[in-house]
Amino acid sequence: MFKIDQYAYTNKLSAVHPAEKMMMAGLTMLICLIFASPPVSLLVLLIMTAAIVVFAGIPGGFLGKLLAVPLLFLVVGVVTVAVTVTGDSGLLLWGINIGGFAVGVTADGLYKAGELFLRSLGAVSCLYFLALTTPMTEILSLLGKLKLPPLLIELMSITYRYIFVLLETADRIYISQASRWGYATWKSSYFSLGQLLSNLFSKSFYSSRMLYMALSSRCYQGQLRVLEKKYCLSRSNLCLIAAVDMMLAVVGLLTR
Amino acid sequence: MNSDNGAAIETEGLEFSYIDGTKALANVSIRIPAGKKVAFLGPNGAGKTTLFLHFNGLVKPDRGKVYVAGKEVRYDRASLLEVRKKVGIVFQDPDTQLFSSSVKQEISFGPLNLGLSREATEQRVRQAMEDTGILDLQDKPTHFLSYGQKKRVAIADILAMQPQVLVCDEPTAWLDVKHSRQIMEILDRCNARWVTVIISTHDVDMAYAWSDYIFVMKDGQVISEGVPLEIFADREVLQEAELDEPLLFKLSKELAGKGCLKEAAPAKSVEELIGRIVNMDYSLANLCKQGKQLCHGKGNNLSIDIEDVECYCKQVKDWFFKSGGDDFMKKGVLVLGHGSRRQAANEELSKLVEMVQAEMGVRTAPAYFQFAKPSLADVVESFVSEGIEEIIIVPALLFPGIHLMEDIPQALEELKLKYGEKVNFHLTPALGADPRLAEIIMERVQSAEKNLLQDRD
Repeated sequence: MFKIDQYAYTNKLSAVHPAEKMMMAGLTMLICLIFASPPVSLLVLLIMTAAIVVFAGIPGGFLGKLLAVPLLFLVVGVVTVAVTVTGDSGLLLWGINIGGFAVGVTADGLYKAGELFLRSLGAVSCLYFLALTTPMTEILSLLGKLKLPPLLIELMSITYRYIFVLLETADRIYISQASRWGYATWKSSYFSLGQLLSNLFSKSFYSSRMLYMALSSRCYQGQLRVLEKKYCLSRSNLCLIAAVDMMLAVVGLLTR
Repeated sequence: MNSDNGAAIETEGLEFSYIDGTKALANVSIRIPAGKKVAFLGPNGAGKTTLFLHFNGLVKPDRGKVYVAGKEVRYDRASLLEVRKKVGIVFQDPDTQLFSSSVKQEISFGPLNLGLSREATEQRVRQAMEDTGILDLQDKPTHFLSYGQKKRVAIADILAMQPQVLVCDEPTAWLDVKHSRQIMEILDRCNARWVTVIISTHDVDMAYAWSDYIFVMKDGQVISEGVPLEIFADREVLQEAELDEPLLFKLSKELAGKGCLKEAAPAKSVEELIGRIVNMDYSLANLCKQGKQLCHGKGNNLSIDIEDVECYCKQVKDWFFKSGGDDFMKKGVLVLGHGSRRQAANEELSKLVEMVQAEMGVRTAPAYFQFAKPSLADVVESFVSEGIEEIIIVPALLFPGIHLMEDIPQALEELKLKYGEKVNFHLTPALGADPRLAEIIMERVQSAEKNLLQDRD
């Protein structure tokens, strides 16, 4: 999580207009989801991988690890789609009979499972593209421009900022506990974890009060108004995005 | 009440208790001078932070009033905004203050709240970043910053609002020397623009060297206030607030006491102290040159500074070993005093004699010019009868003037005439006399000796 955040600020595409990156990720994901065609999904996966590794300069190994994260859920999901329960065992490519029913995989189910697998991975790669190339702060300011309610955005922004403070605090408590054998046995681990959580809660509570004071001290009147960063849209980038997505759409239509 | 222009912030009988009943402030009435560098010193839990929170109305006191720039703080929305525009607080932990993930957005929050335009805000943010030296951090996310950097962003937050009073709670806590210095330089630059800078700290060295005015707090009360020299000269206050003497202050005092410092006033910086150290040698001549008075009081109430006498004894010892032969049995020290009608004053001299005797373990005796016995001639006589051939005369507790200028040289001349080559007389510089006279008398003694030699020839 920290690493994703770090790459978001330091990748080679960090200077690109966030709206362009969001458009690229959003449109491509939409196409990938709408067409539900394996070639399109595969293409999306390839294009996004290339964009992340080649253009944004993020190590392929790291991306591989990230893509492996949803794999567990995917496999479980895909298996349930692939496996069919039917009364007609003739449809099954392979299966076993349990009582009057047959459990197994059909050609149709297998195709559907494969298609779902690729589609999910394609969509996930789009999200990763956005997450790895666009800092949260910019996504938030973009959401503001898209007229999302300010309250929601402020909430997101403060949550994002204080996740790091919270983790750091938790880390410090953990180290101080561990250095005193707080996690030496199962029993002490449970006890320490409980202490950590309750401590974290009271600390967060205190922090939030201090934050409110600090904000009030700077004339806070209920709205977190800040300066937005100015970006210039690049025509060539927009054309590129349009071309890629058109191509994908065409492939999608052809393979329907 | 209407306060005059001199006070940036003024409080009157401020009282505040926490919900659990702990009294955080008890009857705090202070005047913080405008345009100054002000430090609040005191142990943890003394109420410094709580007091600071009153300065721009973040906390409403149970009793008492706060005045900012002479105007009473009221607790309605509009008045509070007005006060907070004038008084900015930098919180101790930057993580509780920095709410935005982007440094630039973070700093822009204050000015935008003041209702400034985008352009004006942009300009203020830039200025604040320049002043705190964080221009290169503007595009970095807040959570990537080091503690010292966050601290500077927290200060920039407030500077961008251009307050008249900048309050910093423990600005150098947890910072290394380099970063502490950076922070203090930032505060100095603000102060140079007539911003009143108020800090809290435990660091007596920093408070001593940096501040113009100091408040000392303990258990929710301000127990003392004043310029640093006054505060740190008051041992009782320091003890009560569990504060140490600043190193520089202590050293300066010590060095000045030993006569090794030009001007007696304590130095404010290490460079100043080093520049003012004149001579590390404790020779008597040097002590005398420094205007060192080894005894105090006047007339019949003279007393001796024991510590200095110890140092003096060492010098007499040197004299003793340097002079004449090495047969100690043939040497004697004669401590020559003025002699007083008051027996107590004469006892001071006896004390000195005892100390010299204890220090050197040789025959030592007091002698007086007047009102007391024995006289100089008597003691010399008894020394000679004991077989002593070297007599070291230590003039002590004498009035500057007549004795040193006339009596001693004259007496010495007489003695030398009387005993001729049988006895050698040595005169040490005067203890407790005007140093200029000490020099004059040395000269006179030397010329007297010369005359004596010439006469003999």
